[in-house]
Amino acid sequence: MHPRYILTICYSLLLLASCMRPTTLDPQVEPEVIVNCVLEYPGEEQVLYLSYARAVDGSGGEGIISAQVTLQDDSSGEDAVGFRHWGSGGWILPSQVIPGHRYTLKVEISGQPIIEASTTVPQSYQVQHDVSGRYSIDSLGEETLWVYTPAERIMTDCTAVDPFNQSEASYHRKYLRIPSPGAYEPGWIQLYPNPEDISKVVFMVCSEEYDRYLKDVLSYQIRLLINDITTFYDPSNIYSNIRGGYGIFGARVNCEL
Amino acid sequence: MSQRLPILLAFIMTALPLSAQTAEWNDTIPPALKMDSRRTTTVPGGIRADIRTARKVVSPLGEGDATRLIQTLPGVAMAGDGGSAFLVRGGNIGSNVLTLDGVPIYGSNHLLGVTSAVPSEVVREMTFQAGGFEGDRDHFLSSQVCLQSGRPSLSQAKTQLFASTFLLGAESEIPLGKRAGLMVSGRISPLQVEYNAIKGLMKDIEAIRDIKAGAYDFYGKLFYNTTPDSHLQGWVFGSRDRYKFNIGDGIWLGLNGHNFVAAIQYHSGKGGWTHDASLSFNDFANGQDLIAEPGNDWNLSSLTMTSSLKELSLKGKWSRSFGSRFAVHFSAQGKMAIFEPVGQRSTPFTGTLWGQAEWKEEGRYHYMGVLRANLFHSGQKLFFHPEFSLLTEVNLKERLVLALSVDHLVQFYHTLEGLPLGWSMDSMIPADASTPPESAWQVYTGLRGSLGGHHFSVGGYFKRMQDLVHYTEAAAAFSASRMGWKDKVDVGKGQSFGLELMYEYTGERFYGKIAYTLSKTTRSFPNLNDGLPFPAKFDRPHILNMNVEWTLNRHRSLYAAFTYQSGYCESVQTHTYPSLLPDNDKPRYLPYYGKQPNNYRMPSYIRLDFGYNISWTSGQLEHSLQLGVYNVLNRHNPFLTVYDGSLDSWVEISFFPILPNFSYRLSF
Repeated sequence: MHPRYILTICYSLLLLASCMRPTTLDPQVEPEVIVNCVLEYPGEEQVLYLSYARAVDGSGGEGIISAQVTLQDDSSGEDAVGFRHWGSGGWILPSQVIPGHRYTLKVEISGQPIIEASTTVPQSYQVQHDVSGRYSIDSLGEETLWVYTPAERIMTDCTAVDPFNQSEASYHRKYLRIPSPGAYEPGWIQLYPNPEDISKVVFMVCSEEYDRYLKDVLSYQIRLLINDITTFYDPSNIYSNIRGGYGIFGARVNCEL
Repeated sequence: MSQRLPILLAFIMTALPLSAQTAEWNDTIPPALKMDSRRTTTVPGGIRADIRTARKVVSPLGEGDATRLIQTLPGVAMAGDGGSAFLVRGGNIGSNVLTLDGVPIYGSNHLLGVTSAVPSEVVREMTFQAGGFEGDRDHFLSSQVCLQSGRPSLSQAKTQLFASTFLLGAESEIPLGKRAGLMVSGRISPLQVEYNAIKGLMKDIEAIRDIKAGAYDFYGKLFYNTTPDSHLQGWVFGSRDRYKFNIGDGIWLGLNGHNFVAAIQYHSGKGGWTHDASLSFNDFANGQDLIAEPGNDWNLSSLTMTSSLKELSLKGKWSRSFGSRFAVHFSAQGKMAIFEPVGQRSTPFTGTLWGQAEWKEEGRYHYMGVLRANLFHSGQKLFFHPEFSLLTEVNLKERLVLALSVDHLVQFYHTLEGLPLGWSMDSMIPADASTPPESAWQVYTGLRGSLGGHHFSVGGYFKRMQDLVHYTEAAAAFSASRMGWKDKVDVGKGQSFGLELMYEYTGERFYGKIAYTLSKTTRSFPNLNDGLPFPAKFDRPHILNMNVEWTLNRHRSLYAAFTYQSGYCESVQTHTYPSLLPDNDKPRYLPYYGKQPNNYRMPSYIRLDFGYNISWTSGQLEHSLQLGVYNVLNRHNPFLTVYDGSLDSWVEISFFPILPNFSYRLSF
């Protein structure tokens, strides 16, 4: 037999015989309660989403409409205030939060252990900009600064930017993450978003918890985008600071220009 | 993507490793079969074996080598199916080190982990130690595999040629006068040529549009007997692997790695003293990249993750024997290294002084004590970490030995482990203030004995590990380049305990071995599972290996191997939940893998292999042919379990179905 045919048979057998076959799998894990809440300053109301985790086949995941949800300002020592349900797992608290204050969220659902999480609202700051796209930010501390634009790609000359979502062409996907912006000596950064999307730029100083969560989520989305074949191997959960449940409780101070 | 994954990985894990088949069958029938002696020799805390014994172990597609033999021993768990990666007594894959003549080979595997990068032709014997360590070793937490190279013949030129489907090679020994000899070896994979030949027939496989592949290694050694009691040797070893897969959409996935090692070593022994000196240089690098061709739909044009380690090591060792019962050893060693894991450069220094005292009388007792003082400087921080080992072996009866060993071990280089293929795709990073040196305490006690051709050992171990690293981005080996790794490393603890049993029978024509391990291994990290212990990924409670060899006559033999291992643990996605991003018009769903990592145990791993060896001579030529069948039961041992949304079902991905193989070798 000609060697070519032998090789052909070998390759074909190997590639056909390697197997991907359906199986049944039941990890037997009860769905966690998902709590998603990011306190925003400035803002007249705070929004929280409460639901059960959804099964991988898409079933479940219904919003939770019966619970007691409270927010405690640990810094001021005032009484906790309650969120009210406004539909489909959404809860609202018509209240402002105070920069620099630490808050504790408590969720009580009948038959479930108490769910708690804490975060600190970052200090407020000022952003100034000129027509050339230069932004000057005052009063920044150690909290991480995020810049968001609807543009798919954004570029900057800031050398302190985290390259986690950067392409070889120096573009970042939608977000810029600048750790310890207060230590960045030039004191101003130049942004180069797509001209058609320059209409909106949002600056966010995020609490430590939301910063970790945001980077994890965006990193995960990039992995999906680039078809990283190892995404399936030894995966790990997105960061969460919810005790007794899952999700995120964080804070951010926004400045939209 | 989910449809591409199994096919692409299957190609990586099966088609490429075929190149190693040749080597396995190459010289499985040495002129003198070891029909009447044990295949391995017990040494304190481990075994020693002739490399020909290691070659006989049936491997999926590659050469039976030292790691294949080790995978059949008690206390050793296999990592991924078909790979040569292994875990010893609850350690990590990166807790083991392989050395060639005392020099670490950090990238020790070819072809994505399926065969050894060190050609077996240049290796004379191997030693595996998992406890009761001697002082002359590297820094690690689990085991050391020491490969001892052969000396080139000083009297007669010898050559071996071999060819198989995916690997070609040659090895020659050339005398240079009466006191010097040269050994050279080279192997190359013709995979690219073969792929091109059948490329047209693979057009219907969407997962892989095109492949570029290449792998080779070389070894050269110059040996010189300076006096009857001393010799000088210099050697170089190099290997390189490079693979590129076009996975569609204009995207190329690249995997590559290389080693280059050079060493000059001197040995002298006279009047009860022996002196050894070694100067070596080690260059190891690996990388993965995703390259998008212009015009693709992606915003990201390229992602690259590279890691490199350059190390210069100087070592001196002095030994003195006092009669036949007492010996002492002293050594001083310095290592300078340059790490560049994912572009973050560091230059640690390791200094080690150690002493070892041994007192033994053959057939009665063996006592050994080792004390090692280590200084490690990294990231502006100086660490002082002593290590020690104690070994006691007492003969209760003539052929019944009670053994006890206690080890305190330290490891200064961490490994950010990714896919458990055994191929050194993983980045190595030096310990520093945020990721301190790993350390472990280990106690082993057991009995071993023999009666006629029957040999047995039974023992138990307990091991506790500190400052183990957990790389939370193992799932993103290819895309981690931009995400950094520093804040993706958790530091935690590990614990393992187990029972190890082994029985061997050696008859005139029959050899059999049964090895069984019962163990439990856990990990705990502050940021995972609320800091509570959870099963280690490769916690395999039951491991059973059985090997038999039946020698039909001087030229023919049969071999069979059976493996049963509890499935490893995997973090399986149990739910999804909505994200909360600043630009959320509607939530995107994130995967949730349960509160406890490694929440699902895969099905048990079961495999049966058969081999048939035949050899003959024609004039001065010696021929050998080996025929084998890997995974005779054609059991689909799953490597991954993932949820495929398109099928609306969980799917198991497995490699290596029933797989016939053969190889041929010519020696003269």
